[in-house]
Formats: sequence, structure tokens, C-alpha cells
Amino acid sequence: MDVLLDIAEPDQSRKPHEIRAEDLRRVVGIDLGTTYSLAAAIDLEGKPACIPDAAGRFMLPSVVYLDPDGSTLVGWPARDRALTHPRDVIASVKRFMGRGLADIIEGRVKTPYELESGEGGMVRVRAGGGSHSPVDISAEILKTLRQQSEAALGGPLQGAVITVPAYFDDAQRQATKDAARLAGIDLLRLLNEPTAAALAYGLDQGKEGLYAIYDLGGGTFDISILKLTQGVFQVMATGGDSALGGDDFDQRLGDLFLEEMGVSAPSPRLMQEVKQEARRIKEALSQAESARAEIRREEGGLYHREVSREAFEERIADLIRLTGGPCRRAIKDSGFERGELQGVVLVGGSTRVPAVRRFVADLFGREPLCDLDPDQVVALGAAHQADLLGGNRRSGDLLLLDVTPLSLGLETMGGMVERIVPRNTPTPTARAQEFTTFKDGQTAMAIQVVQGEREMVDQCRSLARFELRGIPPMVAGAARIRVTFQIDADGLLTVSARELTTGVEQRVEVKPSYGLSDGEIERILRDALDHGEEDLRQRMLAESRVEAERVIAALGAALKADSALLSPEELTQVKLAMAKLWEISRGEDHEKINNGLRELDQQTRFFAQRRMDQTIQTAMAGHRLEEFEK
Amino acid sequence: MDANRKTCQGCWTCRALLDQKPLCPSCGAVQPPNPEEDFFHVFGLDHLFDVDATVLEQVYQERQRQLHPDRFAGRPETERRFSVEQAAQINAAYQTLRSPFTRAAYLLKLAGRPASGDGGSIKDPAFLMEIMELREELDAIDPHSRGAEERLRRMRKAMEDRMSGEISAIGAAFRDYFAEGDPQRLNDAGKRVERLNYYRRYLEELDRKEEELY
Repeated sequence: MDVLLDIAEPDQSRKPHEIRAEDLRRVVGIDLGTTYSLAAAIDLEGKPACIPDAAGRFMLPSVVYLDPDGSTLVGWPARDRALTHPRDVIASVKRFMGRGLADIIEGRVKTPYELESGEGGMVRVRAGGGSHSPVDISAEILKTLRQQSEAALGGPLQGAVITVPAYFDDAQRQATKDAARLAGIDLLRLLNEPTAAALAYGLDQGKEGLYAIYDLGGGTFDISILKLTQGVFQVMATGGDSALGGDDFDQRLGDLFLEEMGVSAPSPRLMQEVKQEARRIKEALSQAESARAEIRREEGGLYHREVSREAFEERIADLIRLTGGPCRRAIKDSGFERGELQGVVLVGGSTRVPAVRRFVADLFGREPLCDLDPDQVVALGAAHQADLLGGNRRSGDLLLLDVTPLSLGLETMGGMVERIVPRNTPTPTARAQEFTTFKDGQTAMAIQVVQGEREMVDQCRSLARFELRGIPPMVAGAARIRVTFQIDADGLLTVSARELTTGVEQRVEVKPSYGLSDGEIERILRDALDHGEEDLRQRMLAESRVEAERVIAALGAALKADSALLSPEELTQVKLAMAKLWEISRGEDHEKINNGLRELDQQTRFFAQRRMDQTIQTAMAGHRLEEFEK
Repeated sequence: MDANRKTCQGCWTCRALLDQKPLCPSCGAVQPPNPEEDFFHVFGLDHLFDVDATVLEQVYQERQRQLHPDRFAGRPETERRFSVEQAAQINAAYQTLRSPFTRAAYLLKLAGRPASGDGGSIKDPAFLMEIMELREELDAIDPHSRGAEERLRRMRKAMEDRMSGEISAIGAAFRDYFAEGDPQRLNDAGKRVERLNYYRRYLEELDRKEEELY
């Protein structure tokens, strides 16, 4: 029967190796950059290619114009409005991702925007008559790339790999993930930018051996040392600075112009113009020996000056030197010597600056490689990974082994950091740590998770602060609670605390507090719904249903194991609540399901508490026995 | 005990009996890792100190090829979680076995003679004096002074030579122990591992000093 049907198929005639677009999953790699963003996909010949916009351009300026009427413009038209709407045209928003207001104010680059502090301490931008999070604004860029990709691939996008600087911390990664979710993109993976570049060099250029990837973009710097062997891309070490890039070069030139113009408090318009002119001059000086800058003065008239390449290089020399430390550290962490490298690869638009190239050549003792366009190479590499994860697998049997860029630690007595996952540990990774109480009768303990290399907690970035409650009162040092820190393949952290004894397990999932809260994401998603985005509603419904199923299954298992902890009335009550959620989850309203989830959680919390108490008591009993035996 | 329980429960998705392997022999689904599994076993290696780095890397990559979350991108949430847990265990095993120090400490733990982490069991006053002097010498170096980089490089080289000597001796002690079962040789390995720990701490301090150079 099957055979007959097969023969009747009209495209039997096609050659077996022929690939048709409709057989492939529509997936892309996206480089969400500070200055430019772009998407790429693997074409029918199996080669990666960037996806052009309607005008044939690959690069989309990462610039968003927020109109007071609530609409937005992204890319070139947004950039064109920078001078007429200086406060409503947001550029380089990547620098704000996962950052607090203080981080931005203390940073090197000044902005013409009105910034404020939002939920969870995250910075927000006042523009277009409203308040916007960097995540919202990034999502606008991603939406535009999604539309371009869908037009090019001929249907709805089925998934994307989005790249992030390798040195991005957890909050910055979480923010990027949230932006993908807001843009309605099914995120297959967050991929480190230098690793993506290495993929492109390995697969499209056939490079093998030990390579350093020097990636200096608009706002971030990464250095990664990778070993490339037969389809395996193993990151040996990584380092960088997530607030250093071409924007800083522009700032230095801009400061020079403002100084010479005698302006100390420029208007937002002048700031935008100075920024644009500085960037134009910087780009021109990559080719020319000198270039003429022209800026309209506030009071009328023109400021102009000739900028020589030498003068420009002098002003940015110290910034370029800042990349040296992370490079030396990464080489050392990799366990190799500089001389063992097969090559150094340049990635990112800022490596077009001749002084940067000279610095890299000096530092590594060899001429750097730039066979692939440094602006495109990250997106091209990400396209390979998307093809693999999306299930097309045309890039062969490749394997990516990455590392965590920053050490993960816990606060201990006196504000010191106890390191539990050192930097450059291969991911995914999990480390468990046992905690105990330090006061008699203590029933709760606070745990603070930080990321960074410094020894004091306040010098590192706080990722999560949470409390373990419900510890039965006992003498100091008697309680034992195992906390597991897991970093997944996206570089994202999950913390779970558990009392694991007689097969009973309680998990407390803690998400880092810095990013958007789930409530905030849902609110923004709901706003998007009002604009009639049906697919988002479906997605949320699916997510809520899966969550309901998971909770029901977990509760069922808990009842099976521990129904003895409940009175018959309580048991009936819990079962009823469970049945009610099951009923609701058949419906089409995700909000009702979420309410049902919250309700069930409230109604069964006492049961969870009793189970936790029981397991902790069992553990303690065992512990005391051991001590007796000693 | 834990492992047996898991085997009895069978595959989480098709309920088939499991055979201690990470993938179900019947349906191919990833199973949760056994947290008690020893790291040598994860790579199918015997309990020996001598591990060929090339072989270890090959087996490591093979295991990751099989279980890395990239392999399970389109699969159900539960299976993806198990693959993350499996990959994390493989990474932990690799991290432990690839460095001679952590490998030796791990072998001692398996042999029931764990090296105390704080090195407090070293009673040899001459050794402790020597370490103290080395640290004082390191402390006295101003990283911004002329020739500091070169001096630090020489000190690192001297320490690394000393460590590789200690590692060779640890290897010999373990070989004897595994061949003849002489507990004295295990004790010897244990003492040397604790000394190695002091050297490692010294190198960490040297690292911190070098950081100031950059």
C-alpha cells in the first residue's frame, strides 16, 4: 500500500539528493549587534548567505525610532530621523541590555537619551512619549529581521539562533532571550559570537587547529581561543569586555569635536550629529589618511576640522590596549602558548580600524586573518548552528563545546565570594554545594549568587538573591541543604535547592532577578496581543498548557508517594483542585490556565511544605545517627 | 542503590528496561544521569592514574557528540533537560580527569582516602617553611616594577617543574598501589597530592599577581 502510494507521488522523478526549499525548516542565524544586525540562512546549495532587505542591503542598523503614536521604525529610516527626533531615535541599545541605570551612567559612552530605572533595577528609556525597556527595543530589531527572513524563506520562521558576545553575563543573556520571546521568535540557542565566527571559518574555509578569534564590535569585545578538529569546535578559553567597542572610539572623536566647539552641555540633537559625524570620520579613516569633519553649530554656522588618521589613533590608543589583558589571560587560561596558535581571526566592524589590526598583529606575533567579511561572519556561523538545531543538518556532524566566560560564586561571611564555577568551565555545567545553618533555631537562609572575577561580593554582579525557608528549627550546623547551580548550553543559570533523601525531591527554581520578571514579559506580550498577533496568543496558550500538564503530573506523583501526609478531607480537596486545573487547561484561555495554576499552587502549598519538612527531618534523623556512630 | 532503583523503574518514556547506558536501548531517549556514577566509568576507563590525554579528549568528544543538548534541540522538554544534565556530568568528569591534580584527588577519594581540602594534614615544618618563604618572595614583587614580568615568568617555570616532578612521583605511587595493593604507596600518593595542593595555591597567587601586569 505504502509502496503504491510512493510510486504515485508526482515528484518521484526528482533526484534523491536534490533539496527543495519546502522540505527544509525555515531557520536563521541572527547577529543582534550593537551597531548593525543581520540574519543569515543556509541556502539550497548548503552554503550560508546573508538575507537582504527589500533594497538588497544585508546590514540593518540597530536603530529604532519610537513614534509618539505608538508605531516604530527600524533600521535605515530610523537612523535618518536621528537629527530631527534626537531623543526618540535609539541606537546601540545592546549596551543597555541586562544593565541597571548606574551601569550606564558610570560607563564610557554618553547618550542623548532620557534614562530611568525600571522594574528589577533595569534601565529604561523615555522616548516617543512612553517608557521602553532595552528588551522591547531589541525585540523591534528582531521583528524586522524576522519579517525579512520570512519574506526571503517564503513562510513563517520556525526558529533562530541568536548570537551574544561571549563575555555577556547572565543578565545580558536573559535579556536577549526575553527579546527573542517578545519578537515571537522560537529561540533555538544563544550562541557566542566568536564561536559563531569560528564555525564559519571552520566550515566554509576548512580551517583546522588552534585559533584565536578577536572580535571587536560596536559595543563589546570578545577573545576566544578555539580548537577546531573534524567538525568539533571546542572553546578552550574566552575573555573580553562587554562594554568596549567602536562606540567608544566614536565617543573619543566626538569629545574632541565638542571640546573644540567649546560646548560642554550639548543638546540631544547636537549629540546625535556629533556621534554620526564621528562614526563617519572613523570609517573614512580606515581607508583615507585624513578626513574632514563638519558639524552644524547650535548657534548657526559650521564647525569643521581635518582629522588625520594619526590624530585619531592617538586618541583611541589606550582603548585598543585595553583588549590586550583579556587576550593574554585567555591564552593563559587555554593552557596553550601564543606560538601554538595556527592563526588569529578578526571579527567585528571595529577590526577595520588599521590601528586595531596592527595591535593584534603585534600582540599575537602574526598577521591576522580576515578572509570572511568581519561584519557578516558571525551571522553566517550562526546560520550553520540554526540549520543543525532546526533539524536540517546540512552542515555535517558538527559539535560545539563552549565555556562559561565568568566565574560564578556565592556570598559567604563578610561579603566575600566563594567561587563555585570557575570561568572557562565547559558548559553545560552543574555544581552542587551543601549549606547549613549558623544559628540555633534558624529556619531560613539567604543565598546570593554573583558572577565575576573579583573577591568581594559588591564588586561582582549579583545574579540572584533568594531565601530557603521552612528549615525545621534545630541547632546550628545541623541542617543540610543541597543547592545545585546549573549553566545550560545558552550560558544561562538555574539554581535549584533540594533535600534529596528517600527518593523524594523538592525543587525550587530560581531565575536570576536582574532580567525581566515573568509578569513583566507577560504584560508586554499582552500589549502585543492587542495589536492582533494571533501566533503569540497560541504560543502562550501552548506554554500554559504544558506548564499545567507538568504541574498535574508532578502533583500526581507527589500524591502517590506521600498521600499519608494528608487527612482524607485534605486529600479530596487537593484532588478536586487538581481536577479543576485539568478542566481549565482543556480550554483556550491561557490566562485562565495561569490563574488556575496559581490557585492550585496556593491550595497545595501546605502539602509541599509538609513534604519538605518531612524530607528535611528524615535527613536530619539520618545525620544525627551518623554522628552517634562516630 | 540509586542506580538500581532507576534500572527497575525503566525508561522514563517507553518503560523499557535500562542497561546503565545514557540512552534507552529500546527507544533511544536520553535518560537522567546517575549522579553516583564515577567519572572514570563515565568514559569507560579503569581506575588508573595514567590517562592518555589524547584518548581522554577523544572519548570526551564522542560522549558529547552523543549527549550534548544540541543533539536534542527539537525533542520534548524533559529529554532536553536530561541531555543538559548528562552533558554537565560529562563535562564534570572531563574537568576532573584531565588535570593530574584533580584526577589524583579523585582517585584517593574513590580509594577511601580523601585528601583533606585545606592541606591541614601536612605536618612537615621544613616544607611549610619553604612554602611560606616562596609566598613571601612572591608578595614582595611589585608588578609594576622593571623586570617584574620576567621574574614572575621564572618563578612560574620553577614551580611548574617542581609540580611535574611531584606528579611523576604520584603516578609511580599509584602504579605501585594498583599493582600490589600496598596501602603505604596510597598514603605516599595522598601526601604528595596535598603538597601539590600547596603548589597550586601558590600558582593561583602568582596568577593574581600576573593579572596586575595587564
